Amino acid sequence: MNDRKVVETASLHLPVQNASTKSSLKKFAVRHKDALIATAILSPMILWWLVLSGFPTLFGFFLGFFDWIGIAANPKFVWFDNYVRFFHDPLYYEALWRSIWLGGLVTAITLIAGFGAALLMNMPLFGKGIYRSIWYIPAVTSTVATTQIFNLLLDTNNGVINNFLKSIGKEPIVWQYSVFWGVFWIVVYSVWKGVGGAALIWLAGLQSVDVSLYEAAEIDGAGRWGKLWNVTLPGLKPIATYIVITSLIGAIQIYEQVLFMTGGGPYGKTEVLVFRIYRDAFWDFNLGMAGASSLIMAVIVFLVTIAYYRWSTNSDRSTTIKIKGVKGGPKA
Amino acid sequence: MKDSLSKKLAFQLKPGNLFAHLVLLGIGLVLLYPLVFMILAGFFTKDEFTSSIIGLLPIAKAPTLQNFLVLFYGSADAGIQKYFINSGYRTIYNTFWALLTSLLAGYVFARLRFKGKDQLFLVLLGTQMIPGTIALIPTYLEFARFPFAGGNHIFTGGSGILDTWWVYFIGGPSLNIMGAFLVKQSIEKIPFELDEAAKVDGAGTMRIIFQIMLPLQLPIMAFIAITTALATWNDFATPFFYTSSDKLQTLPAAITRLSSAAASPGAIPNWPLIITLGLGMTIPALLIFFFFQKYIVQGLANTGIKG
Amino acid sequence: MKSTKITSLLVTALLTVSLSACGGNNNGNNSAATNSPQNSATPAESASASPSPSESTDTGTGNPVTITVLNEGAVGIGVGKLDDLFAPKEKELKGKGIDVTYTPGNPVAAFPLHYQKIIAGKLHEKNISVKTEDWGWGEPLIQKETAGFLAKNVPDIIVGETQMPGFAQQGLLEPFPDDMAADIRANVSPAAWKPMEYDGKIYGLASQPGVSSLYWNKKLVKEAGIDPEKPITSWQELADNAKKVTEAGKGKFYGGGVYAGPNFGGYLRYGALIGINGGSYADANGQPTFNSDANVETVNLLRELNADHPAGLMVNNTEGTYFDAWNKGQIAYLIDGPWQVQQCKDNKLECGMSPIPLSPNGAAANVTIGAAFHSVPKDAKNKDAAFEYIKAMYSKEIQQLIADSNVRSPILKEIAEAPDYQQKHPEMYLHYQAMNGNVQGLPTFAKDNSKVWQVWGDAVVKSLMTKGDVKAILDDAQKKAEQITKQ
Repeated sequence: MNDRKVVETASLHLPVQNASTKSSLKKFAVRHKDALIATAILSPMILWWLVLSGFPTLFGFFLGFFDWIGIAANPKFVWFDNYVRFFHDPLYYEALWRSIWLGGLVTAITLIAGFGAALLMNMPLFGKGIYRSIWYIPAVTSTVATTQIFNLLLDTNNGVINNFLKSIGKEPIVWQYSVFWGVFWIVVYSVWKGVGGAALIWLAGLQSVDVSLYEAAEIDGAGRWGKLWNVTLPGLKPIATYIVITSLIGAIQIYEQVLFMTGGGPYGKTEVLVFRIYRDAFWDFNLGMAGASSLIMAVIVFLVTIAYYRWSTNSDRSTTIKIKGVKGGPKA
Repeated sequence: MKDSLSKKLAFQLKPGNLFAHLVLLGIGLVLLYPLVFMILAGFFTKDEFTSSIIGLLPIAKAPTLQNFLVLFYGSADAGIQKYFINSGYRTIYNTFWALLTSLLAGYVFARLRFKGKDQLFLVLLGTQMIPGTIALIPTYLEFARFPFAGGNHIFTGGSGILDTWWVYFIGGPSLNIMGAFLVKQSIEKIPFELDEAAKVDGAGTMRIIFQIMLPLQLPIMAFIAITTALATWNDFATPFFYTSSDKLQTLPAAITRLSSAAASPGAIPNWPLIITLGLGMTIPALLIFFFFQKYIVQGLANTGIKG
Repeated sequence: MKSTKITSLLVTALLTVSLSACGGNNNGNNSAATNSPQNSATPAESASASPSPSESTDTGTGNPVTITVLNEGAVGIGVGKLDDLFAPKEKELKGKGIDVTYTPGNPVAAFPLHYQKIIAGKLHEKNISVKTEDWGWGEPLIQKETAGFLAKNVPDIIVGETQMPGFAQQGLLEPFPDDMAADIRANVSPAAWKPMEYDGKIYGLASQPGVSSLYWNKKLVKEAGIDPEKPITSWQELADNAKKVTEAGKGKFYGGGVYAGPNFGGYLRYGALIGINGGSYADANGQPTFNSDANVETVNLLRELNADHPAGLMVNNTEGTYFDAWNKGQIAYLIDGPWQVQQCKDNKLECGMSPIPLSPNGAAANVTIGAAFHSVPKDAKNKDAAFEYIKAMYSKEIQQLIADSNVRSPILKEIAEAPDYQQKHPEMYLHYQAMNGNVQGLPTFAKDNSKVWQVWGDAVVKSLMTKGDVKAILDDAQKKAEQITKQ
């Protein structure tokens, strides 16, 4: 709604002129100029981007074709050996699989919890802004600092939570030697950090759904759930595309919480692929495997994302058209 | 007045709304708990923290402001203020470039027609999915081999741009892809007639972008600003990895060091100080957030389906 | 579409160029390595009594040199030009009411300050000034060092602990000049250099390394009815006593023993037990030797001790947790480095100290721990000056200062074996004796070092946390480790 208002006020400042023959010529020229203008604007940025991240990343991938263990050793070109090893060594393919399901789990919980919170925050409540801020605060904190706090809380012996358990007469829990608890706390930490951001984005989505659609649905006799199902959810699809893709990309690449909280343990059962890449690169100087793993990771995430993007932009387009029709009607 | 107030109150206390209040507040407090813990722990001395059993809400018996003083005034071997200022400069610089690049690129991808546009955009978006770890060492090599910089004869011989301000300067102007994506989404919702009218008026591309699109993109700009600012503020990898001089350090890098130095055998970590520094890192980030927070929702809403 | 092809070609070409630039040109910088240092008067000098000014001119080279040195937490006073750091540090310490004076032979409060002052003074005589950098410690340090080696962008002196022997084996470090090495072998305790010895050459030195000893909390031991003054001599006694303390503690405190987490903190500490029983982690070729009978016995002892800990404490991921329990008086026995003597005092614990007890057929052995090895990288720009720095580290003045600090023992035999030292610092003398025996470092495995260590660490944890047969667990680990190293 706001948006439209702004559009209108902005257009007021434009003196309206009648189109002349000149303008159609110009239009024609501009259409051909598009590519030129795009090149002029984009090429410095893309060049810069290539220097800063494109080129180093390609270089990293390129190393994936080398057997290069040890800093002083000479790299040996080995074609796809590293890639073959990746799919034969459980250390790697299990870590990849773990990245995927752990990332999926974190994304799902974060988004569902965030959605619930957004529904509540969208209600006409006092102090909505305060709630919004409180929920978002964890996202603002740095991972290094807050994982340390979690570690203090989860310390086996004198940890805050175990002290609490002891004080109410329960047995303390050895968090670190249980796969369940390891995964549990990684998920809790990730959700803790991500839920506020997700809630905000969902909230933005909720507020961007056109009120007139709700009115229309009410006329059709839809109830609370009917409106949620028929108006809200379809209306949220574009924002859902954004949030699912970004959350998933982020969650699959989780590694700091693993590094700082479980160290991959117990027995490597919480090792995710990016953590493995990190260890290969910096602990074993095995830059070949690190490069190969990164490329595989990127390809898989890319495919998943494209599939999701295709699927959701298709539906996005259809909703957009539908809504435009509804909206355009009374205004025109 | 009174009547409407009590009416408002009654409205807030309706079962559904009350439930919402309770859930948002209750979970909100749980989410805040680690932060509360950090604040409380900051009042401990190292000795007390080491020797006492820490409970759910640690209350220092002999509270001290020492840690907070270090946070504001630093010490001889840790000039905290300098780190704060460096972090601030970096944040402003990177945010400026992120805004500029996402606005320009977003417009280009939304409005201009050229061959391979979609493919190019998809590739750029795809690069967001690559684990950043892989680029760490190649980037280091690239910086070290930067032609003619830092005593390099063409590629070798010196340390390139490592450990110079260039590490930070060069990081800014790179294309902010997620930002461009959001701006693109948002501009696509703006009716084409607006551009057309401006073009009729004789406006060039840059004028359209800065005079017509920019005012409409302010909320989304705020969102990009806040995410970039937070990411830059909390980024410890860049300063830590690519610089060594004290004058170039930022707060997160300093904290990483203080914590890792505390891990050397034989040293009992000064947890209260480390925690307080971590907290101090968060406060400016919180201020950034509070300043921009109302725009976030609005900004993201614009990328949605309004049109 | 043509342009993309060209770009991809270009990219490939560029990659090849830069790759060869970083991998291949090892020979470029090495010519300097063969030049032995011009100053061969070293043995005499390091033995010279006081900072005699008369010697200062004989280096001759004249050109002022600045070397870059990585900071190490125990002696760091900040980063930047060393000379500029003294005044502000002194002011800060005075502000805190700390005594900044020091006369050799007397206790010292501002240890790092004086350490750096002595180093700076000694190097000034050779016209060398020092600039320090801080690259952190542990994980972040290893990251930066790895990248630095790759880019050939390294300080003149790097420091580190468990990663350093690996760097030496990869040929990244400059061996000490022969005369200096001979001097060190003759006059310096092996704990300071033995872990950095590779192929008959010395690649690094620690000015104040440690080895492990057994410490016990006298109060807890007394409560279990054990004589707190009597040192333990055998493994059996240690296990029995730990059990007694645990029983007396009734869940309030435990017997304890040694940290055994799956990381270097653990490997270093129980490594002493492994060595005592005649076992080892690896053979001379970097191949694992996990499942020897000696190791099975040692791991069995660890399993026995694990019962005398709060659940999970002994194998906790972060060692800090274990020492936290010790500092809070929750465990009675601890195998750790010499700093515990001072820390016991700081934490108001009354501690006993003795050499690590022996197994039935065992002989005293130890592992260097808490050592900041200083090495000169092959790619360092001022190697000769850097070696002067290392000479200063084992100079008489520095070693006297370390002796006076009472936190670590000096490594210079001349100082440590003086009767005066034994009298003034009985505990540290005990520690010195341990440093002088059979001391090793941790081995580096032939391939994928950290993966192999992980296999071992996990196996020990499994032995402690499950009831499975230790021999079978270690056999399995041996097989897994061989798969990695012999791939």
